[in-house]
Amino acid sequence: MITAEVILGLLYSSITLLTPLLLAGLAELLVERSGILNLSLEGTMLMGAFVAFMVAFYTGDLYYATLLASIAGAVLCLLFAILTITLALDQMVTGLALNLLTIGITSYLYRASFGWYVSPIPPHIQTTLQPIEIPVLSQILVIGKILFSHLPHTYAAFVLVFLTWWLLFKTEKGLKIRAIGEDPQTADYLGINVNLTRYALLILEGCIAGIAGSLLSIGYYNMFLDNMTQGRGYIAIALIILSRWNPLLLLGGAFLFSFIDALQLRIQAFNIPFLPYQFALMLPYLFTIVLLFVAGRKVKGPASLAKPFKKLR
Amino acid sequence: MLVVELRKITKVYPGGIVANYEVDFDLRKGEVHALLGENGAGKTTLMKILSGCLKPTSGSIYVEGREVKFNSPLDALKQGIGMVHQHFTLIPTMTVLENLRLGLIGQKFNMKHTLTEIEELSKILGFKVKLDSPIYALSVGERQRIEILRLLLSRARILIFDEPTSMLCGPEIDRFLQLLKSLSSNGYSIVLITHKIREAMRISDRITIMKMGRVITTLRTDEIDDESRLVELMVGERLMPTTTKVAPSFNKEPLLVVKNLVVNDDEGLTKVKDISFELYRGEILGIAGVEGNGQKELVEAIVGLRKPASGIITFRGKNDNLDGLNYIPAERVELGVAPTLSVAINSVLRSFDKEEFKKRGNTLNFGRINEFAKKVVSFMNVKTPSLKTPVKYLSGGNIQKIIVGREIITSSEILIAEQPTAGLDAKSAYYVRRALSELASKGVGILLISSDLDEILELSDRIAVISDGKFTRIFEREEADPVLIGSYMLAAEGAGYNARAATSAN
Repeated sequence: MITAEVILGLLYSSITLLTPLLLAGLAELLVERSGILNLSLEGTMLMGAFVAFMVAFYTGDLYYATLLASIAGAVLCLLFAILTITLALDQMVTGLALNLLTIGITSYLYRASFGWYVSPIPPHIQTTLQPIEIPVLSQILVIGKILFSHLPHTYAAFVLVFLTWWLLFKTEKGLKIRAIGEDPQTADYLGINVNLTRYALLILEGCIAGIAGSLLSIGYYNMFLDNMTQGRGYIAIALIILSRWNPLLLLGGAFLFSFIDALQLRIQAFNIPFLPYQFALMLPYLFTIVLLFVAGRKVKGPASLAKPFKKLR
Repeated sequence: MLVVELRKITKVYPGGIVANYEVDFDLRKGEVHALLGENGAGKTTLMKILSGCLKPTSGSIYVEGREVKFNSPLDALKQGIGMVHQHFTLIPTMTVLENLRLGLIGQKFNMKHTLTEIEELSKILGFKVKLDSPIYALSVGERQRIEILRLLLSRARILIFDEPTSMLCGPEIDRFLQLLKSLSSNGYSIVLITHKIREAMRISDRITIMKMGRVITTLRTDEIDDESRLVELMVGERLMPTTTKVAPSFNKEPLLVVKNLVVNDDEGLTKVKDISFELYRGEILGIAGVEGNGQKELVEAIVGLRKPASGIITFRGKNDNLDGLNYIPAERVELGVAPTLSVAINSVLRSFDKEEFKKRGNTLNFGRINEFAKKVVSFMNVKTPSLKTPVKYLSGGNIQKIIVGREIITSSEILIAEQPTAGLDAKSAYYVRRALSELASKGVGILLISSDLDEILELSDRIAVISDGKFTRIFEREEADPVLIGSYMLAAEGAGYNARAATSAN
């Protein structure tokens, strides 16, 4: 039956599921504002999940795991930057290629380390990231439990929403980023270093997306699975379109998606007859498509998004 | 006192084209110096070198006596040199304030200080700045003024304008030229790149004439008593001053009927507000108006690029039969050509599905296509290395010639000509105008939309003035007079501005 308990649980896990989406989405949002469409966000998250798991498995240290996931993400995005900015390759094709590459590499290295055998229990780590209860605030009735008893990543993600918004719309750096995204030629003419800015943003995105991915393997689960990001990177990109490249709206969009995701987990658990669990699994993605259809049709992104830029001089 | 001196500037483009050859040029403090010449004479190249956008192959630049070298426009701006390009360097989705701020990158920024400075400068410039409105909501004239304001904010003392009046019309041009006067009297030194002789005569202190990459001569404007001498120097031959047009036949057969047309733009704003008119066989109907008053949407609705919100458009009595409709778009690269395809293909871009360009088996007949392309090229004197050259390698003027040529040659019933001579040199523009009036004599109905009021006055049988999406008046040829038309153009704006425009035009 639907009780208060169930609803509270639903909201709590919405916010949990929201975290990696929001982190990766905010980083990608900044990058897209500068005119780069980085589809390899998906692969970057997957790489983060893999590296974090491997480090945690062999050292048992979750801090190292997080740090190295972040570095691995940065390296992958740096590679994307070299290919798309310096060599001016097509951003979509490069992004997709890198994603296929990461799926292959992570699955291969996983098997190279643990062998091909399928044991009933896949390799797993002993401890995972633990939530931090914020004193006082977590004692507030109802809201306290839902909002203030999460992983530090969640708090960071919420703070980042406002930081990103402030950076984009209230600072000179943000003005430059938006100018580049609208018209890199003009930005260059006005003396803004287009390529340097894009490189910096992509490396930052790699760091954040790597950590976002690590949440899956060492935060929510204690193991790594093939392609365990399951399209979260793509979903983040879809949510950016829905949010009209605005961090505050992205928070709303990500919450809606996560809520449906949490809901479908419960639908599965309820074991409703005539409703196969695959249908429940499909719901969040179906929801994204419907929402894109309803709200994302007339949305205009940064004018130079995904277009290669070459200096004219 | 010389603020700028260019000595023996030579610029060879990577393709081997010599755009400037040993050019000398100087600029005095507080003067307006017009740089006059045909398309491709090398005016813009020279000034792009002075403003740091291009590097000279050889030669030297002196600013206030010191030799300087520029690696970027920002370097030039630091020496006080700024340029307003034909394509504005504003970001349309951002607000005026944000765009102004972008011009101050790399400098210490203090919002309060900048705001007071903006206020002081806009007093000198004589206009009010709407800091919070996005650039896309502004007219071309307003955008231009924002560009100027931005240069002044970043301490430019030497201002270069590249064909600044080419996208402005009547009253706005007057207003702009007034602005130049007040800038020069405030100590700013100005270079005005133009191919309009009248404009150079009216505003400048000195005129330098360029032709084929070289300076022909520099003259003091007040010592020139015959404008046609300038034409000779520029073009090398005398042109007939005006075209002659056979009056339309009395048989008033409407080719195009527009009834109660209402059109919205992409943002859902109503841009055309209940317009009705008829276009007759053999007449040229000119539409005059300040840019952004609904001309664009009106044309888009007629040619079928935009669905009208309401109203009826009929062609010779039929609703949706676009046969016999030809169109010269203002946005030539976006709508007129496929930039990566050849000159030949672009010449038949709108007619390649006709029988004459097909072989048996429905394949293209390239022999015929090349023949037709040759006709277009020779008719309009298009300068192209070959018929196979992709049009994106041609200059803007030559691209325009291809479009105008192919549309004029194939016109049979109705021609919608939007800014047909924009960006063309005097000679080509003259040929286009002559071709248009010949076409009308043959019975083609022409809708002429132009920001050049002189052109409209010269060609049109009737002149419709559009303002804020409505035809404020339709003049017959005899009763048309520029000052009167100017006041109708601004009918929707404030009465004060209206009166000022009317007096300054006198």
